[in-house]
Amino acid sequence: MSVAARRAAIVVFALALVWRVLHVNAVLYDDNGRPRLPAVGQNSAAEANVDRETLRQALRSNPGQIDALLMLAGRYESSGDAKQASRALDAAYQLAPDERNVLAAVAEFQLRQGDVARALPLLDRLVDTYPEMRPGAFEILGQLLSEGREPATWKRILARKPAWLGLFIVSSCERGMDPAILVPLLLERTPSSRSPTPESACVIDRLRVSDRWQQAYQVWLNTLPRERLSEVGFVFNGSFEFAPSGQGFDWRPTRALERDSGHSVEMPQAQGVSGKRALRVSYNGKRQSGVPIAQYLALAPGAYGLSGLARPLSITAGRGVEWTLRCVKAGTPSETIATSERFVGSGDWRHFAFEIKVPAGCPGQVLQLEALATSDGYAYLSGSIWFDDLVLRHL
Amino acid sequence: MNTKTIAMSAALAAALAAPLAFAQGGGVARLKDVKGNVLVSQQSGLASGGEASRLPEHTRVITTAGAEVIVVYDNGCEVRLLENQRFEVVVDKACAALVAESLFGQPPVAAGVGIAALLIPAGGAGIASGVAGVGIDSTLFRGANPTPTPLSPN
Repeated sequence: MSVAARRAAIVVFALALVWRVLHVNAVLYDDNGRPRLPAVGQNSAAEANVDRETLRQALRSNPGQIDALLMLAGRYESSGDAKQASRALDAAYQLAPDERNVLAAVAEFQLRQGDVARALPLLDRLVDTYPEMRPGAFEILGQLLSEGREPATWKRILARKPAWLGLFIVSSCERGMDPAILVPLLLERTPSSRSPTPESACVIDRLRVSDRWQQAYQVWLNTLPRERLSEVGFVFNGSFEFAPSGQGFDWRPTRALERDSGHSVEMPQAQGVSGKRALRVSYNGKRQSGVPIAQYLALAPGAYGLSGLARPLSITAGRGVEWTLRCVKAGTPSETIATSERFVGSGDWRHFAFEIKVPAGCPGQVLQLEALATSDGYAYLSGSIWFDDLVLRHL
Repeated sequence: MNTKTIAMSAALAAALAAPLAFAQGGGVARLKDVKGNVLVSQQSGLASGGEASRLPEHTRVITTAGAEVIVVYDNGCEVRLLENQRFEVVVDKACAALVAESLFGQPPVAAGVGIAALLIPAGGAGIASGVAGVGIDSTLFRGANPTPTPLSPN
């Protein structure tokens, strides 16, 4: 072969090699240069149409091509060669142990092989480092948690108090996982925070809605800061001295806008009351929608007395307001157990009280301030009303 | 000491003794070795229970996460509560039964309701194993003290 022919052959071979590499890269990377890589639940790269030989050749030219290793692993696994797939994944993991797609691919592979103990720490690192992977990975973690798989591994993960735990609880709770399964995780978090969090709100509410009132109450107690535990009345924060958390068994002021609900709720400083603050509900004269403020209670059956101070100011254009205690079943307020007197007109601070008899079969209740409807079924109210020192006592 | 002085002393002694008598006679048990946040039911709700707090019958004692306490009956019966348990002080049961209830729980509304029994849904074996599987050292999920040590002398 002449020198010219030899040179031409080398050029042709080099071009072919370049074409191969470019072809592989076109499969491995998108137009923006981002890798087409597997995500948890999506084996896009593994399913990409690249034959094994092309992948092997790409790896021979650059053994550090993680994506090619992952794709090769996918090829082996789909053809039933788990051993070779595992070798390819091990190689990828050795090269890039913190790389998103390596973690995802290896974790998925281990799960498919039934090796939950190896998959869990990988999923932990994946969701810890790559928040964008959480939706899919949380679903898998939730499934594993529900099945009670690998408790020792879970314990090790929880011991390091991962930052993703709160979001995982919320995600799983909102997806409908049994809240009782999430309670241990929640309690792992609450001792340090001792404050209401979105995850505690969701778990407590789901326990309550499933009529597990005692459990809900116990979990809620664990979210209260130490100083608030010194006096947890049957009505919590009946003095209105603390801003309501809107969660658990604390006051829940309306979140609706005044223009939609017809009322607004504040707990401002007030004159002539015990303590510094009191509850004030203002009505804008329009049709009332919803309840301005409510609190869930978990009273045992028996007789109670609720007392407090009230001061109506120009409550007109309607039949007034009253405190109502209703049983709650499956998260929905139902029959009325007791009502206070009706508050209308204007007056100075005055004492009010009414008796309550909680029947058996009513493990959860809601105390709420309700506007009285007129004969047409609607309630129109204007003016405002103050309340303070609501206390519920066992008789 | 004249008669007037004796009368005044007696009145003072009676006045001082009254709260003591109430404190001693106002309950059937007391709290001992309080650790963490322990709540006791009162007329208007729950309040923190301190060392030696007197407990009338039907008082509920509730422990929060990380809390422990021993309920000591006046007859010497001692019931240890671990974290996240609730216990109702009753006097019509044998001490052994009370200790057992605190350890192993009972259905809700019974005395000595273990929160473990409350949080693990009835019949939810899979869920229960899932909860237990998490392996957190919490009475909520162990169901009871794994190495029960009855303290009661009865």
